[in-house]
Amino acid sequence: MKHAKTLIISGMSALAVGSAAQLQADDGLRVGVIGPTTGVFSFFGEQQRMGVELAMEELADRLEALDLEVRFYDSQGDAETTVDRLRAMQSRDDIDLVVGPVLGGTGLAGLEWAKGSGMPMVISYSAPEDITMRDRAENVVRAGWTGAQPMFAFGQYVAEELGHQRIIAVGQDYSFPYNQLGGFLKGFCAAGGESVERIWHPTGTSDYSSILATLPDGDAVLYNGAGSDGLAFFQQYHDFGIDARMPLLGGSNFFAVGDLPEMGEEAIGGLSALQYAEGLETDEFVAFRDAFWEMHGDDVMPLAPAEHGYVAFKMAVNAFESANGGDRDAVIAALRETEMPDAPRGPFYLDEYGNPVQNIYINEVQEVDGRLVNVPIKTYEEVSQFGPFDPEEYLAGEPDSRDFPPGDCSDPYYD
Amino acid sequence: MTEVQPSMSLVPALEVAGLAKSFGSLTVASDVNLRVQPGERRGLIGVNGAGKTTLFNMIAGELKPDRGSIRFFGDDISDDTVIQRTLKGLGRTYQVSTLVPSVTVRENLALARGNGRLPSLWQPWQSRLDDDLMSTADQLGLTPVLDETVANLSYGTLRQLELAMVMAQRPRLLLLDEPAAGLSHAERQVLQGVLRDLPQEVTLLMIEHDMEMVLALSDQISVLHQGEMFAEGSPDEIAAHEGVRDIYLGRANG
Amino acid sequence: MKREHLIILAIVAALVVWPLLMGNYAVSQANRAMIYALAALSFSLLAGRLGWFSLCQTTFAGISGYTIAILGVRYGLPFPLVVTLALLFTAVSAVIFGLLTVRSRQVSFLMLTLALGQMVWALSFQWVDITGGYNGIAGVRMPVYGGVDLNDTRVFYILVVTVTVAIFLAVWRLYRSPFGLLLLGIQENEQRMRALGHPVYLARFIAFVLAGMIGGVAGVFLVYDMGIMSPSPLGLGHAVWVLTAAVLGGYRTLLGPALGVAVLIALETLVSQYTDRHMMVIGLVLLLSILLMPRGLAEVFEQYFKRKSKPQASVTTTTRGEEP
Repeated sequence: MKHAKTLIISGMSALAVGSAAQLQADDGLRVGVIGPTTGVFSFFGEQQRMGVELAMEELADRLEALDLEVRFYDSQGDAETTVDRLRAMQSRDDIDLVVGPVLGGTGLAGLEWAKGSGMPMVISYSAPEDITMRDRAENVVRAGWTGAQPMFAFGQYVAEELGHQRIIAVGQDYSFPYNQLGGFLKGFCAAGGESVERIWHPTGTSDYSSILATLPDGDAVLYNGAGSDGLAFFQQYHDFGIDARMPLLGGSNFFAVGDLPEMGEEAIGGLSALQYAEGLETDEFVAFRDAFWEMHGDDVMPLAPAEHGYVAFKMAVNAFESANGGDRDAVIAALRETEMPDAPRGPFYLDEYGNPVQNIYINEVQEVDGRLVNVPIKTYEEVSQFGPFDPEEYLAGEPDSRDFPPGDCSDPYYD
Repeated sequence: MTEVQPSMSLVPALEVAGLAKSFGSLTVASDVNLRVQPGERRGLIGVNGAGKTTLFNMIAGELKPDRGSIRFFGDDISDDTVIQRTLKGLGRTYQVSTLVPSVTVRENLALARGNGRLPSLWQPWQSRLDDDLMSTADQLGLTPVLDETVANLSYGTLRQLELAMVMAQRPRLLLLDEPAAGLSHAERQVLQGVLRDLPQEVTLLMIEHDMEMVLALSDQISVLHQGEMFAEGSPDEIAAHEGVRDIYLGRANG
Repeated sequence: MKREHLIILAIVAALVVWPLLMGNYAVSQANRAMIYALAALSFSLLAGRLGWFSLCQTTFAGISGYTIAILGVRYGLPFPLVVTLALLFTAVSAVIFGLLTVRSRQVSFLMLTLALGQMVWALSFQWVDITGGYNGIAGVRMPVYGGVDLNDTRVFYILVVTVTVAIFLAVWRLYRSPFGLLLLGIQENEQRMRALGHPVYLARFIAFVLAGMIGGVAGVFLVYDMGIMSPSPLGLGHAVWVLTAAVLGGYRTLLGPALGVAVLIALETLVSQYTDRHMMVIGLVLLLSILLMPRGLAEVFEQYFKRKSKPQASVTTTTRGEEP
């Protein structure tokens, strides 16, 4: 009854908001960078932002020549917000290329949107393998990795170099650890491993005593998880004294440099694998790291999300240059041809599915200049997202899940 | 409970037998027996804490007795829910009533006469206000305040509304919990008139402290004391009863 | 013509004009706003009429969204069947949840709906074979009928606006029905409604199921709008967002929840363009508005215009119904 004016007023103000949002247009190029800069996962989004900012500074002249402007968007780590921001980029802000998203779920949501819109997109840290596999899109490439990618090499290393035959795998119960373990298993079994027994726990578990008390015997334990779950597992694993019986291996994020001080000296010697290592000593990496510290202060270690954001942005700029502007098809074609011989993490190029073929480092936690860091002790070169396997065959197979691939290396699947 | 009106059936309207209820160590009813004939006007008196409202709550089904049975026109309703008792024709008012304070008198009236079924989700609520309901409201003097929010009503008007809501249900047995409390003298006169004019087939059981009203309206009066029936009789007998004078009238008048 | 009808006409007119005047992004924002307005309406139906603050209304949206994603993408069932089954399954879930919650009150209701919502969220996260887990299920699309792509922002708008307006009108009638009145009566004096012969539990149960269904409809649009179904819309964050919007707008009124959603989305869009600290700004705005307008925007507007236009009509505090 009495709502009329309320509504008219709110309608008018909404109109005003909307029309203000419509005002755009000039002919320069625009890159939209999206990642979680607020919320629980803001660490990753902030790393990406800092990486992009560093690249912007380094490429300042080229950006000016291209008349390229960069805008940052906050995904809040939420799929729906991600899609909303992407829509704003496309229809409101006239963005020509997207860098990001950063997290797994937002990456898939972003991919889904990109398929509908045709927007060139360089996904940075987001790791679900199907982004560049079963669900791949022509206009979407990736500067980072898939969950399985570093783990093929790690599985191989554990079987061949460490000689472990039976692994007990404990992990957080969701798709990223499934994919990590899937890669591990495929590499491990191919290199002569015997079996992997899986134990999953819900994310957010803080008490592992029931798992640890009934832990089966094996040659080593592999923990697939990170964050507070990983820390709690690490500490309780040592409290139970299991480290004396079986060494503890980590999934790619387990020995994260931010968590190492809390893990303390017991982490030293901890092994994991990634396409990145903050302990790299190559010229490219040292230059990147020092410039990063110069810009953002040396209390922040540049990690993989920062490097991937940095590289993703460079890929975008290279693509605009070789496309001579913002023509979508030309930019996409250029992106797909990406080769980065001097990336901080090491050289890489994109495979025909749009994912980097790159070095995988077996990292060991060491103390360097009073800091605990992951130092590469072995490098597997030119590892693709399919590991040592044939892409067609890999894609025809089932995606990794809670209990796939089989944990027994004598299973016919591995023949 | 001696006088049985010849036109009435022999089945009592309400028969309470051996009703007992304790809250922990506090016994609020130890062995209450009560028989009310159809069409009778029965007053129920007793000092505060004698267990009158507790007895009402048990009869209406809002409180489960520890022991004893309740029969309603011969039908054992001891295990019935509040709604089932309501649908069988048992209506009650409350000492402290607020009904639905945030809406108007008219809207409250539209809520009267539940029939145990879900009311319409589609018709306007006004469709429930029929002439019968409106004339009951008018009889109780509610016409001028129909569009007032209940929260803004005077206490007296609230009690009238309360009564209108119950009477709209056309109950066979009406339990009135201190209907005159807080009413002005004029309002009491109206109330007394309304109760007197109730159709003969409506049986009335009334808790009331206003002795003048109880004596004027009741055929029979029961006195509840410390969880038991202490005395029962005609208004004259009760007024003259020594024990009742001691425990109740004495204090009430003093 | 009554004022109520004028308002409805004005709203309908605004909704018709919006896609004609505005760009794609504004139209997609309107789609989101309407979807969340439905979710907030679902919340408000329980909160405003029954005093039941539910944290599982977005869960119903999620259940319906997952049903669509699973049946549509995994099993490839046709669109109309998928939507029908999604609403049916939402109804079944609402019936089950309703049976569990119907006897609870305020805080215990809140806790129960929180628990149920978190359970379904956890299920969506961990039942990977069915739900795709954290990654969710991608590729949820509406069909193209006779050359008309239902996924097109503006075509989608027409669908959403039609259904949303229809549901708001239906709830408007419901609020003015004896049933709507009974719900208020139950909130304020449950025992009394029982004594008046009304089936209190049944009425609450029906209200719960209806609210769940409205949430389910929101879920249908949500999943087609996103193109992907993942656990995130089932999370506590979304439930609290909807609660916030409803409280900000005024959950006791019909249009308050829609108003709250519109304001909140407009704020988010506007503020996030200027600062990364947008959550802080929005939090501050919310804090102030709830301190200053505890009954919500809609009721503040209502009081304001009532005082200006018809001082003698200020007896009622609510807007249910007209004089006969």
